Amino acid sequence: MIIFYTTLLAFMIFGIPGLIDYIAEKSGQPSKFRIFKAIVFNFPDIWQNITFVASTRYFIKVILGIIVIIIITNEFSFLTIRSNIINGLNRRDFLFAKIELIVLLTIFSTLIIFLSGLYLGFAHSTSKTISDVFGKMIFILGYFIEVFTFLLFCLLLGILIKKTGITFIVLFVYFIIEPILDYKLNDSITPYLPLKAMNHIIQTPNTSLIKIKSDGFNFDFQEAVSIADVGICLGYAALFIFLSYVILKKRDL
Amino acid sequence: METVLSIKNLNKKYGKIHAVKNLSFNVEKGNVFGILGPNGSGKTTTLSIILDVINAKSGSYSWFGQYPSKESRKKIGAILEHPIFYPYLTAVKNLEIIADIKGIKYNDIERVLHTVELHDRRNSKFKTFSYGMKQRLAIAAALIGKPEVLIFDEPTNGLDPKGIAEIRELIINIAAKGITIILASHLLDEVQKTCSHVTVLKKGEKLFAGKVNDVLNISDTIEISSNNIDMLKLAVKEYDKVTDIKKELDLLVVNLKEGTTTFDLNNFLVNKGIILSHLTVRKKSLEQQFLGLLTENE
Ligand SMILES: Nc1ncnc2c1ncn2[C@@H]1O[C@H](COP(=O)(O)OP(=O)(O)O)[C@@H](O)[C@H]1O
Ligand SMILES: [Mg+2]
Repeated sequence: MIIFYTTLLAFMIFGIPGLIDYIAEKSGQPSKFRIFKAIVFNFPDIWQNITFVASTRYFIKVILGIIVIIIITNEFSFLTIRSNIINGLNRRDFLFAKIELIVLLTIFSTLIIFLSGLYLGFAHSTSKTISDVFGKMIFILGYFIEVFTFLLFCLLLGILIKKTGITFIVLFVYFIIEPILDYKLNDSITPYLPLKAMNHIIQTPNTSLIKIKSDGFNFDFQEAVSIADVGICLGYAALFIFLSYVILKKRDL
Repeated sequence: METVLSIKNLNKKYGKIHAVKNLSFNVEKGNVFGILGPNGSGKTTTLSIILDVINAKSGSYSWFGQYPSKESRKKIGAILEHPIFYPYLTAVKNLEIIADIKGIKYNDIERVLHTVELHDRRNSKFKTFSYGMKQRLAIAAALIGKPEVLIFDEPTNGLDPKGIAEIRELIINIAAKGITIILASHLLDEVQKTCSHVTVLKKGEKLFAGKVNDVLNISDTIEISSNNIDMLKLAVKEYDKVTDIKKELDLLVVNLKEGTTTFDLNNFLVNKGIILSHLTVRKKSLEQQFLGLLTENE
């Protein structure tokens, strides 16, 4: 699974420049696309672009979620959580071991994004000044927090439901339900919906290309990761951990 | 005597089923303690509670005289119901995970694999094992780090006669080293052959408890008496077919080895010049109760 995830991610990240080149050739207007490419992979915007793509809700982030769900629900279906407790873990140790695994997965995924960003940036960016390279790197941290919280959400679902297949179904159904809730509920509440709150850390990037196209259109694009977004997200992370702990503590294994 | 496990007024309910009812007992150091009862009598539930796998409704238990903790569980090796391992990992890898949890060095793994004769298959994945091999690996896992207490829940379930004999022998060998063993079984014969003490459960309740020899004695118990009871006792002690002698008022209660009859005993005493004034075979009441209990539930 992890190998699959890495391959897919690598394929996407390294495939995109090639794809753009390909489209450029076919379209007969290569210069226009060259500009686009230079803009997308420009330091510092690349950090926002790349983390945005990698953390999109329905996209490859889900693969990491699936890994977490398989790992945790297997503990219940193989009953290995039982033997872990019998052999001398307590329930908190067990939960922390799984959270540790999530941290490792998140670090791993963040590292890949970071290295890909560096590589693509240095390969395609027009500006390579230190300040530009490090410019929006805070988005990498934002990406870390977003993925970490999302994986804790998957862990909680897995602990709650225990069955691998049903957990997947519930996760995907929730993917559909939340946008509906988002649409129906009052705007003052919707930013606090968990998946939306996570995704809000890294919003649709304002690549310079879009800016050019929407010159007269004065819309606030995100320039930096907001502390409030991170706060809400970390609040959710804490809540997911707490709920997971309470469920594990109360349950007969 | 040192109390290893003390259970007080334990209760567990699953909806309407009262799986464990006000159960109390103590296990002393060095006991081979049998929990005997038909299927569904609450043996696994009781063991699961004292291993913190399930939460009791009420009641308490203590390990080694202390409030139970993960540290106390590290001193216990246990098998609950079926062998549990990560199926896609090898035998060695599975044992390494357990050694890590218990804080034990990996070199003990070689030893336990040899003990259960799985050393040749140590690098095979768990899911490729036969049931007997899985059960042996579970025993190996329980033996890691030389625990002070071993818990076996139906250890011979699902094994062929050879496997059953091997596992019983293993348990007897472990017990001979003075390690405390708690063994749950629905087989009277298994408890008799391996245990020193027993608690009999029925529908979650304790029916009776005591030393196996007292509770489940299958050899004949004979009452004898003569005009000089002390001389009688001295004479009976010399008879090598006697396993147990107890004095009750003006009676001697004697147990004989299997295959020895009251006729043999009487013959021996007559040769010693002792005439018995009383000789009867006692009803094996407890054993019959237990057998009745088993058939009633089948
Ligand atoms: N998870 C469970 N849910 C509901 N009932 C259970 C559960 N586990 C055990 N029981 C019931 O509790 C009783 C005791 O079961 P158990 O402890 O497994 O007995 P034993 O190990 O002596 O065969 C049985 O009636 C069983 O059906
Ligand atoms: Mg059982």
